[in-house]
Amino acid sequence: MANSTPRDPRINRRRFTQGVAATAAAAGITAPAARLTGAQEQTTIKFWTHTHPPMVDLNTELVEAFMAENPDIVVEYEIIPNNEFATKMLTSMGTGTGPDIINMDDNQMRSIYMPRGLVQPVDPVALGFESLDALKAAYIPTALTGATDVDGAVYGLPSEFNVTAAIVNTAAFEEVGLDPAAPPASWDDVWTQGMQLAVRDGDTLTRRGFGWVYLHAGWYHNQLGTLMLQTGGEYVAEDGTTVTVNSPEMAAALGIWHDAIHVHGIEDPNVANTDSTVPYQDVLDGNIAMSFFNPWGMGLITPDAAIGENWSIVPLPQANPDAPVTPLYAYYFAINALTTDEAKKAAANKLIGYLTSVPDRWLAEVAFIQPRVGWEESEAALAMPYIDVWSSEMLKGQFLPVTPNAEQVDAIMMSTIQSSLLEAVPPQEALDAAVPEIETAISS
Amino acid sequence: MQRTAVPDVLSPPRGRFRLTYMQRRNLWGFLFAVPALIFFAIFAIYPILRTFYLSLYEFSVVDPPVYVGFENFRNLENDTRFHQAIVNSFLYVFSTYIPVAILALVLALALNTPIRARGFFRTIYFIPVVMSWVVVAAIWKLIFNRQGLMNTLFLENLGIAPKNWLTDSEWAPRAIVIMSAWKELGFFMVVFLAGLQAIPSDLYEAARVDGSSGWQLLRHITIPLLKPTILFVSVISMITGLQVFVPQWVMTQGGPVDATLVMSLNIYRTAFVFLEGGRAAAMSVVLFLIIGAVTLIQFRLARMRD
Repeated sequence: MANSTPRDPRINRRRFTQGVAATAAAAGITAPAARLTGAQEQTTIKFWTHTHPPMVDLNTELVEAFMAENPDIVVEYEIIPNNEFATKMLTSMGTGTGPDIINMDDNQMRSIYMPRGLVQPVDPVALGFESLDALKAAYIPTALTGATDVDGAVYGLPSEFNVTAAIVNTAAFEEVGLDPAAPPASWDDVWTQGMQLAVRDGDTLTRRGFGWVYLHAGWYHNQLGTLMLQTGGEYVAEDGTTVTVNSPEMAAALGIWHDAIHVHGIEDPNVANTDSTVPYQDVLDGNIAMSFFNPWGMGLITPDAAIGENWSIVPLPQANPDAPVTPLYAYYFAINALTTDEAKKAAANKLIGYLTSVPDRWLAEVAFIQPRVGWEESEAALAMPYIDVWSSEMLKGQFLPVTPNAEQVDAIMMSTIQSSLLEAVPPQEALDAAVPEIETAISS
Repeated sequence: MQRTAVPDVLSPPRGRFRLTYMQRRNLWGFLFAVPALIFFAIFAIYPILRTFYLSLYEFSVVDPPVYVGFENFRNLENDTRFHQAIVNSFLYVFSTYIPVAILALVLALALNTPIRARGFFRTIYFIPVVMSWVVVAAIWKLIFNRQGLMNTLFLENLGIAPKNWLTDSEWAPRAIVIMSAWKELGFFMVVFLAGLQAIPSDLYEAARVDGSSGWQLLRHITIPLLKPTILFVSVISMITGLQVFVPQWVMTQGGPVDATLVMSLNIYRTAFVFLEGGRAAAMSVVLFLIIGAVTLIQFRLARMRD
């Protein structure tokens, strides 16, 4: 156009501002679009576990390897401190902000997560099995018990399967002239040997003959549970409504723990470590001559532990050595019931399948048993310390019975146990006092 | 005769809303306050109302609420743990804050005089106040350990047998009181200092001219003029003390044998561990009413004395 005004080629302030705005607008439009394209390709899933350093290390490594193999899946792995784990997990599940994959123990699974529909039954095909029967057949018979409901539906795959045995400090045994190869078979033997092994400095027990763990209600429950399996007690009868916590069998179970402190003087909860994130810290520090122990605990015995190599795993002392019984417990990988998005569900199943596809690594690096059929004959199992003891104890194993409202009942029982252990209340009296509270708890 | 239109400049224009200067100023003030009010409504008012609402429901964190009327409140009548938590809370408040208030007043009086290095002492006493409750509780948990400093450094040197500070139901509440007193002393000292510095010095000078002794100055000038501060301290102590949670949670988790189970901890446990949200909400309402009633009584008593 002849009469048009020639454009000024100089950049003035107005033009510069317009240019910046246009560039910013273009970036603003294209950047979300680019991100959106990425988001469509990627599925993000959340995975939470409790704290256990060797387990966390392997989980982290496996998750990273999984993401490298599956670039379309992002796994947000979060570790929750042990003391907050149950509460935080449950609260998050209730508010819909929970992880897609949970890693929970059988007690919680059976008492809360499965009956309240917080987790979904496993999808055997997505996990790489032909059918549910094939999945069940791949594991030893008790492996899935802690995640199976009354109708036979399975809600999780075991990340760790535990049996309880005992650990002895061999240096302490040798120091007092006891043979670590002839450990106590019964609780009476524990009292005899424990009194020789216990060391005092004035009123303070500096080496406990037999030590328990006093971290939180779950530990109180598991340890009393170990004893009540042996004496034949249970909190609530099979009908689910009759409270039997004050039965003679339960009094006998609590009596074992109580007597260790107040009759035989080989244990003192007042000197126990109650802060550590490592439950068996006192064992590792050499402050305990004998204690309950689980396979996963071996993963904590590092070269710098005070106990060094002066330890051995022995069968659990029994109330009735002619009819031995040991408790089983397990943690399971399960999928949140609210994870209904097909892509997320598929990703979660894929990750669980991946995490459970290397049982030998779990055994060798973390001392976690993921009990597929024939696990005890694998190379890793044969290299596992005291595999013979763990295997034979597993054959005597049973899961602890589950009570309704288990968290509340466990809290009541912790208080009951403490009154007997810390205030020397006779076991029968302490248990009698717990009955009304447990009746209220299981009826609510 | 043709009329000439004269513009009406005196009467206000019709259909237009005009604000006075004060109204405009107030409106701007209100607009600036709106974000804070919205925040307060969402994070304070709504949860309070929601708590009242949920107290009428049976509600676990993982199940939908079911209306039960006042059943949750009726159940609290027979809840021995709830009763113990109330008793424990009041014991904590009285055994912590009464000694702390007296000690803080004494310290404030001392540090209100021209002694050397008083700035240093004020800072030292105030340091625990700026520390996190969780950090303080975790440190004191180590100090009160059976092999901790309290036994090895103090009791042993005094020839006293070591105590099971955190595992003995008699000593655990005392351990928490000692820790809380250490933590809270500085705050109340500063409050009293502020109160003391607001008292006009000419009152003291006049009284001294009249031959008043130090005790008479304290009794007839300082204490009466500190009354508003004392009321503030007593109200704040009661509210803070009845809501205490962290030290008991970190140091003993309410144990041993529920000896340190206080109301807030019991509410938390009931809601998030036992999954009885409705019952916990009812406990919260009761706690709210208790704190409200106690505060009201304190104000009434202060007014009666005036």
